[in-house]
Amino acid sequence: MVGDWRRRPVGRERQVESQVPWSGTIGTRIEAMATTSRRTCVGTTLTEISETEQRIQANGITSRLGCRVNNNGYAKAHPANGHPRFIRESKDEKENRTYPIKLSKYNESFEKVPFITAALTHFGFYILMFLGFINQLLFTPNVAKERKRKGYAPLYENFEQFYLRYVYRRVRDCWNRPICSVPGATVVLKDRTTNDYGWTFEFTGTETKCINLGSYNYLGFAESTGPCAEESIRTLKKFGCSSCSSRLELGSMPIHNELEQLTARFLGVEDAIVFGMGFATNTLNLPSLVSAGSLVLSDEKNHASVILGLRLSGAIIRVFKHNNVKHLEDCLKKAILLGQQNTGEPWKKIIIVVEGIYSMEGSIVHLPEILKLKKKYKAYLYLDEAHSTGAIGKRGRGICDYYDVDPREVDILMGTFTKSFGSAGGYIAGTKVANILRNKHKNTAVHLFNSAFLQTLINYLRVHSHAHSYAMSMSPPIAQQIITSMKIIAGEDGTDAGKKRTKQLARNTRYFRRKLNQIGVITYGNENSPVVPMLVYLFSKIGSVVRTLTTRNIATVGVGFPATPLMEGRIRFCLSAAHTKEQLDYVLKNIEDISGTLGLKYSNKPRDPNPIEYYSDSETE
Amino acid sequence: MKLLEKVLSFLQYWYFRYTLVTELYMVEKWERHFINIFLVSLFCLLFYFNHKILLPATSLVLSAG
Repeated sequence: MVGDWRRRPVGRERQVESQVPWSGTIGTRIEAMATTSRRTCVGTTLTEISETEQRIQANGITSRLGCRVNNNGYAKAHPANGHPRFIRESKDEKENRTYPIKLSKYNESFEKVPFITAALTHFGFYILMFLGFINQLLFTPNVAKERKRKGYAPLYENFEQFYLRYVYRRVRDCWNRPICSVPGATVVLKDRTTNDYGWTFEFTGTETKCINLGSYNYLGFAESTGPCAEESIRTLKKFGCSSCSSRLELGSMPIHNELEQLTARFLGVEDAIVFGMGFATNTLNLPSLVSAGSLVLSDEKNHASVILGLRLSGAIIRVFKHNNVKHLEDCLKKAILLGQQNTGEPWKKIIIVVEGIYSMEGSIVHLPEILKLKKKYKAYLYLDEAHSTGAIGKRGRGICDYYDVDPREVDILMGTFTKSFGSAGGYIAGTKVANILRNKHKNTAVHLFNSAFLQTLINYLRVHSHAHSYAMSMSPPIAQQIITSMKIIAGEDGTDAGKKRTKQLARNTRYFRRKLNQIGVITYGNENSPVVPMLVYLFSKIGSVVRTLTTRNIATVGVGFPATPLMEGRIRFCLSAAHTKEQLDYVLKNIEDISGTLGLKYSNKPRDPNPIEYYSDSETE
Repeated sequence: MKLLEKVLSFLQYWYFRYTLVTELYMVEKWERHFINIFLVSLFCLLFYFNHKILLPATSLVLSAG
């Protein structure tokens, strides 16, 4: 239990206490956590329970109540973690474990690249590398140089630097484009030209209005008018733009507490904690949850923030194949069987880290299967819902809503406010509770006990998270934008505007994906995911597609090497509820056009000969 | 004349497609020429090798068999 001794003012306990209703108990617990690593029983209620229920199975832990309670975030070695005891399940436990998995929800495709295209992509890449070396040899690159560094090792010379200068630079006009309007359904691009092949740019002074398929504006909340903007402005006038302090010190405002409660309510869990930056939510919270001696099973396609967080934590990371539950199970089995590297000791804890919607692949995690695995092997599950919260599910509540799974079954729910809510920041929501216990006993004593435990994870983070202790608290107008948009999505504003947006997004997604399949281009991912990657493989094709679409007033984003494997360049379309059918039709017509002339029809799948229907508002699917 | 234009545009289009798949679309002009000359000379050498060495060698082996 590493408490930062320099920053343990008296205010810490007081603050935590003030946030929970049974402050006495929690206060004792927090103190106990900070001072001793081993806790004893907490009052008479627990002893009562321990008589009735000898063993509870918390996630990943088999513990004995009344004598010793382990809970999430408790960094000491768990005696049972990595040692699942296969006890016979009772009937209702079994029912709890089987999910009505609807196969149609797994409907995703990852078409293989045609051999000739793969060969040409490699060949083209060698040509680019070759030309890059020659270019570097003949001309000095037009970049800043290190001076007065005689005898020092060069700071900036690595492959990535070379790649940026001689591959990325040539098509640099397709990225980082300056805009001068709200990135809603349409966006105004500031035109620029280059006279030296991408080393420098000049503004031409003109502007182009484009249909925006490049923003993660899933529900269309990126607006400069409307209730969200108005309320944000009102909050800005009331609270100012920053508290200039971290949450743990003076930066906590009522609006943050309101946002946290709303987020928890929105997600259907007991508590949540919010941070001012989405990337940091992953990067700075994972190290406080896992440590050396823990095992992390991470999906191959996880986002850079997750990977960075895991590396910072010092835990052993094993990567499993993308969305491959079988491989995950193999990894779990092997890990439990062999234990820690070198010593063979059992792991402190095992955490499976997955994302909801993978932003580069457009695929959706196979959550029900992973939940089953996690329960079978008693591992924890960390679900990064950066792209899925708000964007998917009937009520727009994310992956758990999409699969009709109880969100409380996922141990740690993480997400960002950057995408669907049109704001900034991130949250972690979760509970740490023995589900079996919850289902078995409905009496009040157990409920009391439960609710004392429910906020354990979040309260632990409130004390130990670096982002909570040291990072600036979220700006009030930004928090207000989230609150207003979240209330609209949840229908708490009394209208059905949110529902309409969710529906519109789902319709747009299906329509767009089916149409693309009909055109014959290769798209990756689940048919319900609003991120649609269209594979073009070659760097030149990324450049040519983005440039051609820009001339036709469509703004898209190409994705190349650092974000994807070297040979899998793609164009990523991000759909939004703000897009109308006419806009999508215009885009699709142009894509069909250029996919013929630029040669993008790689797909060998059978195409649907019938025209694709776009469902109107009255129809329900 | 019409036919010539058609052939020209056809050739132009397929040259464009060729530059796309070899990544020459995004490089500078001299680099494009450099690679083109390199490829053409490579093919010429290959042709010469086949014509002068491989063909006689195979015919020798075949006639011996």
